[in-house]
Formats: sequence, C-alpha cells, structure tokens
Amino acid sequence: MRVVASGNFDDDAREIERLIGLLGPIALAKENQKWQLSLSKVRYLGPWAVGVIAAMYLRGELLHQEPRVVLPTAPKELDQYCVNSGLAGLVGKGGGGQVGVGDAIALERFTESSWDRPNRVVDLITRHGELSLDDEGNLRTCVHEVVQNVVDHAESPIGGLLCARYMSGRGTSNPKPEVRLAIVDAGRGVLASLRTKYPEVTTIGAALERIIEGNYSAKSRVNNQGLGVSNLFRIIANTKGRIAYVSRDWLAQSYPAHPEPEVRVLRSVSLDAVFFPGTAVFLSIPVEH
Amino acid sequence: MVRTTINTLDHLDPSRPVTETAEVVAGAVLRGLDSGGSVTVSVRGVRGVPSSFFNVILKAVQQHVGGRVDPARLGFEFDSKLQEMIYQRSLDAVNAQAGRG
Repeated sequence: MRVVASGNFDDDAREIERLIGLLGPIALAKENQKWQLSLSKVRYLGPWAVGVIAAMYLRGELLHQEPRVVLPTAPKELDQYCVNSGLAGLVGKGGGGQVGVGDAIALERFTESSWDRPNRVVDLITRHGELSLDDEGNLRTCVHEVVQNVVDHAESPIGGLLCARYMSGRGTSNPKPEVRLAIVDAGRGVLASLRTKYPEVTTIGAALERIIEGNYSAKSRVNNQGLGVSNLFRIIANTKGRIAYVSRDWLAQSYPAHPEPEVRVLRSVSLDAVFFPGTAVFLSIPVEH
Repeated sequence: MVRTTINTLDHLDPSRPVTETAEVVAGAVLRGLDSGGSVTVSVRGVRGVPSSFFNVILKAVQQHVGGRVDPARLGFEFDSKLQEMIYQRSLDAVNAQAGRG
C-alpha cells in the first residue's frame, strides 16, 4: 500500500484531521501488510504531525508491516526539521544535521512519568528567552497530566511519544511565542479504558465528555481520580492556548475563540477511513519572555 | 498539638516517577498523623505538580483515617494558584468518595 501526502500539515486540528484521514488506510492495515507513506510533496510538518507519523511508523514496525516513510527534502527548513525532530532518525534517514537543536526537541519515547519528563521542553523554551514560573508550572503540569494518563491507562505497545517545537511569535496568526507539543500513544483509547469502570459509556464522544468534565476514571491505579484530562483542558483555557485531543475517530478541542471544549467525530474530507489507532494529545501553550 | 512540615523537595528525585515521590511523602504524612499531630505538606519550589501527586497522598490519608480528609490536620502549602487548584480538585474528589462510603 502506498499513501501519498501533499501540502502543509500545520499544528491545527483541521490539518491533523486531514493527516489522520490520509493515514486511515494505514491504521486499518493488517499485520504483515507492507505500506509506504510518501511525504515528498509535503511542504510543512509541525510537531503535531510528526507525533502522529512517528506513532504510525512504530506501530507498523510492531505489526511487521515493514513501514517505509519517504521524507520531504524541500524546502530546506522542513528537511532540517525532519532531522531536528528525530523523525528522520526514527525512519532510518538520519544524517545531515543535529537532532534536538534549534527550535525542536527530538522525539522521546517514554514508559514512565518522572518529574524530569518535561525538562527538555522547558530547556527548549529557555534557549529562546526566560520562562516565568507560572508558565513553567503550566507547561510542566500539562506534560505530567498527559504522560501520566498514557502510563496509567493507554496500554500502548509503543509506549508514549513526546515531541515539541518552539515557535517564535510572528505574523498575525501566531503573534506570541508558544510551544507546541504532541504526546501520542498507540493504545486502547479512552472508551476502552473508561468502560472498564463505566460499562454504560458506549461512545468515544461520551467518554471524552466525561473525562473532560472530571471525576470519571478507570481507576487503573491508586493515583487515578479522573482529573488529569479535566485539569488539562482548564489549564489550556486559562493560558489561552489550544488543545486537540484525538482518540481513534473522535476529537475534543478548545482554543481561545472557543474555550468551551467541543467534542465531535473526526470529519473526513474525502476518505472513508478516519481513524487514529490510539490517543493523540496536541497542545499549543503561549509563553511570555 | 505538634505540627510537622514535610517539604516535598526533600523527597523528590527528578529521575523517579511522580507517584513514587507521592508515596514517600504519604508515608511521612501518615507517621505525622499517627503521632497525634497535624501535618503540612509544602510543594513550594516544585514546578508542575500534577493531580496524581495529590491523589496518592490524599487517598492514603483517607484510607488511613477511614473517612474524609480533614484540612485542619493535613494542610498544604503552595506557591502558585495552579498548584492550589489542582490540589483542591483532588481533595474534593477524594472526600466525595469518602462521603459515598
């Protein structure tokens, strides 16, 4: 199977939705079914897209699908970002640059939520300027809440993946500096997790609404009170940031113009299979220098 | 009544899981409560304290005392409103469970 992607995949729910739609056939591919993803016509990839592609690649390896990703070589900034983000190294096309320098940290796989997990993201920001204690607290808490959820509930065969990129404030669409993060797993998704405790919850949308409201938890471990995702949405709203929370074929999102969480099925533009095999959390958090 | 203060930073190894630190602090809290005094847990200086940290401590105390966590006997010190918000939501959740028995 060969999937060809083109255009820009910015850090935006609509673009991520389009990417997940394109990757749908890969998500549905059976064990041992080979696939190739060509990104040679892509002109922009952000960390949100890198997180999704990396998760699909690692899942493909586990399923013996011999995944192959053809990376873009132009423009130069994108070629460099593929190296800096660790994507090129992951898919076996590293070289020609340093990983985790400049405006990106390299992809990081994790299976535990340690206190220092957010350190590299904090370091990424402080390379560009000072970070206030409040902003640092917001950022670290968000990373901890998502990472802990992956560790406690996802049962992800690839563990979790974290990647981030610093965006200096430019232009009218992103006037302030911000850090964009993707924390992705290939696990069972929120519905399967929540249904272990609440069998009456039958749709992913209903599961998302409950975890955003708070106090609904699979209680996999003693530290679970069902507050992590709920806290996350509150923090992001308070910081006037953006969040897109994808579980399989559903999306929950909020952004400054729409701070109340919106939960809906992912819309496919032209494909039948819109499906992400796991949970992907995308964050954009403004920072003040 | 003796009031013991536990500084989370004294027990925090950055390379270890958040919940592991919380379990260590919870143990110290229970010892302080067992001695008949009250306990204050300070999270000052800790950047980014997630709900799981508070949940572990509050659940341990709730199970130990067999009921609601009494803020008069177990207090927390914060250095940000965010920490306080995360804590308060955890406390409400744990005490709501205790109320349901």
